[in-house]
Amino acid sequence: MIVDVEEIDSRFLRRLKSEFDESYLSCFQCGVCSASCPVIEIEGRFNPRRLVKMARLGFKDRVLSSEYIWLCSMCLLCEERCPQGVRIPEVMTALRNLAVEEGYIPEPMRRIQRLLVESGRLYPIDDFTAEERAERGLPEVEAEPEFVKRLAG
Amino acid sequence: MIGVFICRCGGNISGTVDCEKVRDIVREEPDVAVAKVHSFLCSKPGLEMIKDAIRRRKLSRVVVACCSPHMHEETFRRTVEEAGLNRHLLVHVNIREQCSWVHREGATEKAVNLIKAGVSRARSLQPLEELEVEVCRDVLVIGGGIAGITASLQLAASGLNVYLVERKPSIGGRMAQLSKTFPTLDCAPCILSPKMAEVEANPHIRVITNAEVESVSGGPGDFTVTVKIRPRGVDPERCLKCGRCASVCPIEVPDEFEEGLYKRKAIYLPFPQAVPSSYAVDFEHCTRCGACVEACPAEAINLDEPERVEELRVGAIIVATGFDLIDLERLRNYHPEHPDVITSLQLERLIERELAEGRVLKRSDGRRVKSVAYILCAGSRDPHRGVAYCSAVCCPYAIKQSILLKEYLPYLKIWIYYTDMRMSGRGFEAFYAEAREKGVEFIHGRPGEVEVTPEGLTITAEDIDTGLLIRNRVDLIVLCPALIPSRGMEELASRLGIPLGEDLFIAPRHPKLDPISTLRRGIYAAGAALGPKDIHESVVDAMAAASKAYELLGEGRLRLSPYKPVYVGGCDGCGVCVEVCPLNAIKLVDGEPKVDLVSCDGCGACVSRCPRGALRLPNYSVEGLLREVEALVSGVEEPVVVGFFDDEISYTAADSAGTARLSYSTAIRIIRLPSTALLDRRILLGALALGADGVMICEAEGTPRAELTARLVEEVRGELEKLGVEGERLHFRPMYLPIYKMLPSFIDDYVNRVKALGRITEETRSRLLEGIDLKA
Repeated sequence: MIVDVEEIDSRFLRRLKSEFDESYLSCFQCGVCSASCPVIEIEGRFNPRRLVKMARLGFKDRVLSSEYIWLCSMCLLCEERCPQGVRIPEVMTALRNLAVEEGYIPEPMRRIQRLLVESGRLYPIDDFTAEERAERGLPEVEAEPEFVKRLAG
Repeated sequence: MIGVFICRCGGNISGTVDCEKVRDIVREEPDVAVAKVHSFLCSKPGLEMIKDAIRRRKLSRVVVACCSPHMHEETFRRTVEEAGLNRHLLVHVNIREQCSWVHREGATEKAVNLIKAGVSRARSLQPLEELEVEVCRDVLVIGGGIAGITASLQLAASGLNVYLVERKPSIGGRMAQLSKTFPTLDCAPCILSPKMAEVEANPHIRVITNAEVESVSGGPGDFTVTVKIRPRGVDPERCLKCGRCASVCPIEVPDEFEEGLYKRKAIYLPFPQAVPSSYAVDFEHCTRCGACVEACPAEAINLDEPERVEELRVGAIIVATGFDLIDLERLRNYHPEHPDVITSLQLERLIERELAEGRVLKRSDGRRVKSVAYILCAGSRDPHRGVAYCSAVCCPYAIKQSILLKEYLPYLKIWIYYTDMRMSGRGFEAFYAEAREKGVEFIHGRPGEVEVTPEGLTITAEDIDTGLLIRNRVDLIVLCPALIPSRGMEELASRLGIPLGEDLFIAPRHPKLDPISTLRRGIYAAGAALGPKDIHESVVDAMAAASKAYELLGEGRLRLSPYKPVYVGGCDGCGVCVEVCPLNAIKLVDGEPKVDLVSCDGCGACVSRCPRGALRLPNYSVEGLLREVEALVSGVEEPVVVGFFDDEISYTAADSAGTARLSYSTAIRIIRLPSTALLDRRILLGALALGADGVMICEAEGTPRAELTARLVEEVRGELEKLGVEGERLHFRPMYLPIYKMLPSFIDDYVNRVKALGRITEETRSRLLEGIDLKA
């Protein structure tokens, strides 16, 4: 397969630069991020090094439509070890934000969002949990937090 | 009759400065007889144009407006001299680094002011004659590695005497520790030890080991260097190298020559080919039990030998202090503390000591090593946990070591983990190919981590070429640590008065065109003191440094700048000049100041501090400087700042900011001074009286000059405030070169503060002028 250079989106590149710091531009593709990544151990197709390079080249649709940008677990191990100070988890966050703007949201993320809008929680506080909390002296919590619903909406 | 010559610099200047407009304006200045523009003033036709104008128009002064005087002042001085004019009747105005490269809007107007100030300076110039003095033809070489050895031999061959000072008990340096050299696989000790023997035998070279430079005074042609010599405990003249002393010595310590892999005694031969060829006592660990003294058949040992300090007089100094390896402590994910995780330098020793016997053993359990992984860039290209730069020698030596290992142990599996393979030297590419053909595997990727498991060391990395994440198990891991300047470099540099770069290696005078001269005349550098270098480059440097030292001292006479204080009469013997001189270069002899011309660097502290005005710095009169200020700010409506920058550091920093195409406000106009110690209260008050709204003074940080200037600025600020003028109108900023990138923000911040203060009123200016006697 040949990818045409026309796919490069310069507006996307400018957006990327304004969305966060430009640390990702100093990436020299050493691969220490992928070699340190715990997600790769489970999903071999996730590769932060490759995503950073695709993003900097400006292949907007390929990057933003990739489900892999949602897989980063934000453990920061790559950031800790990156010799060039690239804040890879922040790159991922920025890519996710741009993906949402462009309407690229994977179905599981949509479901999570729906759950938050409807109940304000990913895990409902049922009677059992509420009693447990009370027994352990934990403060009462709102069953369906309104502010979360607002944010998620 | 003044001629003004403006350079377009092939668009570098004319891209932002309208050179023709500038010419038409300055042509109208009084005394300007001719003003011309040229595309490349420093080219032969440009220089011919200047010479032609001098002859035909009978010019008595020349102003050139072009690049920084640090680039071409000497070129133009020579040119005016060739046309029959005294070389000091030239003014070099910088409209490139400090104008066209740092400004867009307003660059033309600023260039006009800069050139007008140059014309004003030209009017006040007097012809000067170069001074000539005799120089000491001996040279000090600091560091006895391959660079220091080569430089010493080269100097001795030219008939100069050399003191070769080495910190360790033997010369030889890092190269003595190496097995073979890349890419030719010459045996390192075999090619080095003949050179070491030559050094020892050469009557022109005196080797001083166990020694370090304590202090340096004087200047080019006449440095006085004190050297602290730690006791060796063994007389090299008597030592027979029989080894009986070591065999009875009860103390065992890790051997630094062996990178800690093996032990040595507290009395030891540094290595078999050591020069001086003699044992030495390690007084740090010796318990003075005396067993060695009794065992020595030659009565060569003296455990009570005192430390000595020796004073050397030399004309030039070559710094060849080499490199150290970075501490790998911060690369915790690679487990540098594990016995089977070693450095490449340790592997050099294993190759020397074990490989020749057909094996390499694991340090942990003594079993044979069957697989090796190299991790390149350990601490290099990693500013967060090491250094930002590439250490240059690691790619080729990793390949060299793997070829050597493969030659002896073909069954060995070798993996080289790399970020980029950099093999650009002559013959290196074929060497790289050879390693691949011998079966060495290259993994394109930085390992994430090394894990210590019951099965051994595990190393995980992505091979970027295949996209595979590979988990590997190896017996031995070789880390290739970053090269850093030799321990103590910062102290030595401050003793020598030479600046370091951002990377803490010695800053060259010019990175391309004068790469082995330091910023201080008479002091040169060679080898890894200038940055990571291999043997070949270190040797080339050393030969060049020796040649530069010979150029300075070969004739035994030295031409000196005429910008030295001149006694004009009226001394009352108060001694202030002697007190303020940072270089001890002035004395009172028979009630009159006497300047040691070689030591004196012309900073002008004695001139500005003399209460009787008995000393003058030629062509830097108070009145001349103030006329220059007047021209710099004439016709400017907005608040304007005059900068007084010392030539060596601050002016260079401003040039560097220009070279880096940084930008800052056109409101500052910089005057280049030999040093700001030359300033006095009249100049500071006068600058404000004559049109400046702020004065920014920059001087090399941490120098005695900076202290003098800071104190002066404090005092004059007090005086200003008494006169009802804001003290902030004077601003002192200590500078050092590595922060040149900050200079634009320093300038802009100060300009903004002055803008907030607004312009000084005419009434205030005349009040300021009242307190100053310009002619004195």
